[in-house]
Amino acid sequence: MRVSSPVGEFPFEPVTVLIRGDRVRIEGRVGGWPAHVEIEADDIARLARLAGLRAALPVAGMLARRSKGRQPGNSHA
Amino acid sequence: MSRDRAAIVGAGIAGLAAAEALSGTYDVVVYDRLPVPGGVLRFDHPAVTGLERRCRAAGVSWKLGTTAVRWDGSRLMGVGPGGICWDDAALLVYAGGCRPATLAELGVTGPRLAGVYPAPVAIHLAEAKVILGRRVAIIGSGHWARASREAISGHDCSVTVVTEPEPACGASAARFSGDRVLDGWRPVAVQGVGRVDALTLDRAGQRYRISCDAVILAGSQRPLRNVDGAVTEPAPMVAFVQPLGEHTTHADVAQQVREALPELIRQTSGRSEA
Repeated sequence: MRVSSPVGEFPFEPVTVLIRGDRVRIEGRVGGWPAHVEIEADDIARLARLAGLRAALPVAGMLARRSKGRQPGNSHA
Repeated sequence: MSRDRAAIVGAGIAGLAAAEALSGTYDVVVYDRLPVPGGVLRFDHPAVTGLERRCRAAGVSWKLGTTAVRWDGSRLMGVGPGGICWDDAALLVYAGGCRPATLAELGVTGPRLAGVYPAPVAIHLAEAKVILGRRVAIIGSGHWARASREAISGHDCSVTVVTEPEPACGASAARFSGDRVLDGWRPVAVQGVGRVDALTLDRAGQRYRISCDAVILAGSQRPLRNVDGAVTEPAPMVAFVQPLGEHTTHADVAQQVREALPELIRQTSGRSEA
């Protein structure tokens, strides 16, 4: 993965994916900096509008299944 | 047996070449304010990845995303995501790259105005889709000028290129086709209230004023120096490796650094013993 910024484009290296309720948190590194991306339920709807519903349905389905079946506390994917 | 440590500021081509060259005799740590090596080249440029790989194999350590701020002759202070850190070092190699001359260094008078950008800033902003202006003046004709022109190529703006009295590469008009090119004019003043709205030029005593709402400073390379204690030469136990040159390629830079470093270190050591 890559991220752009006003000072250039950098690699984003995922290290851990955490699913907490209706959120997906991807923790990783942008080179020497710790970084994370957090995707909330509202973001899924927004992404669906931007990318087209078909592209987002599998992700939304996965989140719904994980949310139904999750135990108390964090789950690691 | 423990070895002396060398701290290198800058993980661009010059810094990486220096790190590789020194790794046989020093424990090397490389600082860069950006989180990845590469400097003005991209982190995935083959020249960068090749040097980085060889540096890692040689045991070079990294303080990436960490800004070096102060050198006291034997320690380097950095500020990064983990806070403030100090590294003891017998030698600082400063490889901070270059920058365009400022208005003051060009001898341009006038108030401090919005709309005046050093070329690297202009390029970053343009790549981030920021419109710099509708009437852009670029001062310079070298690679920063070309890169700036390319960065704003999709913008709806007119461009005037003001070249140095002795253009860096000659035949500058041919490299800015479609733009107005004013060869051999020297900027002498900026005008405006809050934001730049005009640039006054001089050629052999003749004055010419052009209307503009953005000025990109893209000429006359200067070494970038921003570590307190390692700004002016000579500085205690500091070797500056900042090759200047309009046609310098990354391979040239690496080669120049490898060739110049032994003598720079010898001079630095000589100063410390004197």
